[in-house]
Amino acid sequence: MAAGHDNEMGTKGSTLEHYLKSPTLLILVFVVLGILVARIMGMSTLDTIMTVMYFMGIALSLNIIMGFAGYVSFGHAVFLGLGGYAYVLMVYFIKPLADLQNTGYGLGAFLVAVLAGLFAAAVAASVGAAVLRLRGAFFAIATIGLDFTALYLFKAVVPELNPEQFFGAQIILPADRIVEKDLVFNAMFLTLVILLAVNYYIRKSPFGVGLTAIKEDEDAAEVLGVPTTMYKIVAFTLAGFFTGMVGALFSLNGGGVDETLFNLGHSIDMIVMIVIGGLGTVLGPVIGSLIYFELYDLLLVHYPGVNLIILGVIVAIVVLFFPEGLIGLLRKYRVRGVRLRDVLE
Amino acid sequence: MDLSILAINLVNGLLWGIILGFAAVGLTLLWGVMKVVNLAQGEVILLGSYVAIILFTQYGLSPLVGGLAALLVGLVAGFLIYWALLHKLVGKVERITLKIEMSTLLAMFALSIALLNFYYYAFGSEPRGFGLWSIGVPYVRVLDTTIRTNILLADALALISVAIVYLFLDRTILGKSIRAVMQDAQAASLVGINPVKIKLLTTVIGIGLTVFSGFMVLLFEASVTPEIAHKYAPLSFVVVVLGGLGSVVGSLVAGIIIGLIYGFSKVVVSLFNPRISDPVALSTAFIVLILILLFRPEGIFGRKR
Repeated sequence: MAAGHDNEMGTKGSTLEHYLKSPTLLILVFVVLGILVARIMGMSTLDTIMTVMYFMGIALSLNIIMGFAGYVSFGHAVFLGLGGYAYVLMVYFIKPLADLQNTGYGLGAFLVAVLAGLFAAAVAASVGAAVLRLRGAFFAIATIGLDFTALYLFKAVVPELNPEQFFGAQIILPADRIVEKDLVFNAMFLTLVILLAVNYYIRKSPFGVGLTAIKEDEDAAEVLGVPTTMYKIVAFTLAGFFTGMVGALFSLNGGGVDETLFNLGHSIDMIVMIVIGGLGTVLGPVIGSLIYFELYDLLLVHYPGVNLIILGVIVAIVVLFFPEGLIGLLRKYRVRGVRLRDVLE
Repeated sequence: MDLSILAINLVNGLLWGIILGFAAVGLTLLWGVMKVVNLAQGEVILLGSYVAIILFTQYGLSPLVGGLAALLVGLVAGFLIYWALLHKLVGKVERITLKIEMSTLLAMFALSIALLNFYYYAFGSEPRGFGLWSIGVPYVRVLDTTIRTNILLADALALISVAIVYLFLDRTILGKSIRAVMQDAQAASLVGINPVKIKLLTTVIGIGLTVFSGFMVLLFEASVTPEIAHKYAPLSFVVVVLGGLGSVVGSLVAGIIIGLIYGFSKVVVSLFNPRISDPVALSTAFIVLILILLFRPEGIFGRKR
């Protein structure tokens, strides 16, 4: 894959053209416009659109480390929780930040969410340097351990911060500390657009090629001069940063936070969406999250109670029989002589 | 510090650690032989608990019969899991690469989603157990405290089971074949060991033991909810990593160490703030996990790989 990519860069001329001339970009723009149109025309409720954006956001965040570098982080919900708690605690205890979050059509909330994301990123960078030395299952287990460490520590510490007000680890934001949902939408939308751009850039850049090389064969990549350690840490930190931001805005939208944000269930969501869509692409998590949302909804409506059991079976079937996901499945076909591979990569 | 409180906590930690160690034996075998990390560990444990509970509450059978039934159901479940999920991914493969490892992780992950939600669907989230049933007298007095006899029964069963598994792996031809595949699958097949047969056998034994341990977990906890899966699965990973992949004795010792660390840190934290002692004590187990992974990834009983 890496070799074909270099070739493409060589023949297509200017670098800018390399980044801009791609059908994938067009599809991504359509997705973004779709969300905007759905919002402005009022085609679905604000809550539905927020849920879709939340799903897409966490899938695209984890995609940076799981899809491109092949490191499956089963405890990635830890960054969701860190971001959520960082945000809620900041606006709960720091008055200027609480004032800031209501300014600028949601830009204020976005900026506070960036701070929360930076907190998650700092944890990701410091822990990443250590746990990214591990490979495969050991890495997965280490991130699960990280998730549970954070869960139990927050469970212990949060009630002590304000024993009269906090019920366990749950924090409910008072009315003067929440932000109107329209503004939260704007902040989440901006985050999602940036996240899409970052994913797309990574897919097209030498950095992304390096990550793919790590996924294919890390030792070989190291020998060929890819700075594997640095690349992995940067990818993990970016993944932590954006997951933290999405967690922050998700909590703000819900008006508070509790320890369920650390649940492995959220890691399940992220991983399943990427697996359904297809690993190692930008469109994979986007399509995966849309399918996942629809599937989730359909199963919930038609098979309440057993919906998640069916979901587990579907995931098993995808893993066993379509390991490349939907994008991998489509990649093999041609439409009117055009290889779908070229469109979807 | 009151020494008797420390002693009581350490004894409780020891009793819990033995259960924890036994619960991880199946996991360590699967991981050691096939590099399959059973992410559905917690849910598979619960299978044993719920089998015993159903037989007790619906059919009025003694929990001891339920325990035996749990073992049998576990062996069948291992057979099914191998043929439904694992054979396609690792059955015919000689060298298990990272990619295959990831696929098995995801496959077991899918199993865990399905099983966990099946429990919520079938049994709800309220605690279930054997009620007031106990073997003999409900409590025995030890020093200044009382210990439930069910816990002693669970620990005795766990220790006996670990001994049997150890002897099986150490003395019998089949057990030796399993260890041979664990050490070098290619060399093992050169001397005539059928790897598919050994992988099937390992899955059956590994899952069987894990389901069986669910019975002990139930005896220890007195009642279970589906949520318990999320407590025992991560702790089992800690135990396996600490004990070393594939080491049965290592698993037991590591379980006891984690239990003692838990008991000890609980006492220490209680000195400062009793309300947060339990979550902080649990988090120490995971801090141990990350430290072990970083500084001695082969575990205390594992060989350098």
